[in-house]
Amino acid sequence: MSELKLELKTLIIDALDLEDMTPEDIKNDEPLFVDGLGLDSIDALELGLAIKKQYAISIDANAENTKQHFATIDNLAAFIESQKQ
Amino acid sequence: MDLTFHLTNMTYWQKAHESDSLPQAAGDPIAVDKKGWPTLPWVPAMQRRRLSPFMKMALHCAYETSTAYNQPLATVFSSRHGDLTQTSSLLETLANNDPLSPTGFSLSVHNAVAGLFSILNASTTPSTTIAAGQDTLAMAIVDAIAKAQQQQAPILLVHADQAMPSRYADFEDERQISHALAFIIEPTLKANVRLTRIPSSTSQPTTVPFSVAFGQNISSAQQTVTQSQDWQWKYTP
Repeated sequence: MSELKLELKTLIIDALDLEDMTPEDIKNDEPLFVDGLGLDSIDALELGLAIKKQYAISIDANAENTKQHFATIDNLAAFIESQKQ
Repeated sequence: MDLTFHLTNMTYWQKAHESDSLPQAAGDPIAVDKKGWPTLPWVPAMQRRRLSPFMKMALHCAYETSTAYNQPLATVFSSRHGDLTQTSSLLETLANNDPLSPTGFSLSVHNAVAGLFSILNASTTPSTTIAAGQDTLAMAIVDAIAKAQQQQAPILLVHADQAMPSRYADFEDERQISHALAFIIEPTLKANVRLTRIPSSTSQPTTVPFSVAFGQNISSAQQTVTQSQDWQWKYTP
């Protein structure tokens, strides 16, 4: 699980061009959007695409709980784990 | 066609050592040198990360030229090819049936730089974006003069073009190099540039664009009569 989280942090940095950041700068339980890391709605789309590509899982953009899945690294890792099974 | 106007605050930027690092050398038809572009320290990091080299050149010149003015200026943006490197990358993605990058797509329109500049300055002034082949900068000047005359206010003109992806080499009718320039047209001051259209018979694929010759010449600030492509100008600093 912690390996997946590190992988997700690296994916976020690469896909969203966060040039000056390292995985250590992103906390597992910190909000990714607005407060915390400060990502915006275009980042959400870009990140959704990157995760779809990397893990071959489908994300329903209109589903109520999608927002929750993308809230933090912890949530995102849990979501990907659940989709893999 | 004969145009006279007062030009001030010229900023000219050109990529250094471009011939050593052209994308062709890497074998990737759309690869671009990542180093040597303006760094834009005045743009917040979260916005800066999305800017392409093309946008960085244009925003750098726009900022340097307009920063001395206290009021937001109406702008004319000018580019023959726009962000062709970005466009090529999107087309490549489509051709491979891959999903488009939302970030790339959101910044792919011809007036994306105009939009970014207005967001970064919280400015709601009018803006147009011009493309007109080899005459792109000259036609942007026409537009800027008309606006300056009509509004009796200074107009910011920004031009940028980037070396073309090698995939488009067959279509090159002038030697495109990565460059950008910006200047102000002041309607209330005495004209210091006279620009005249004189069709040239010497245009070759090796000739640099009018915007390159014009930017280099005016920023060197010497009184000259210069001809480039179909345009001749006399600058009296």
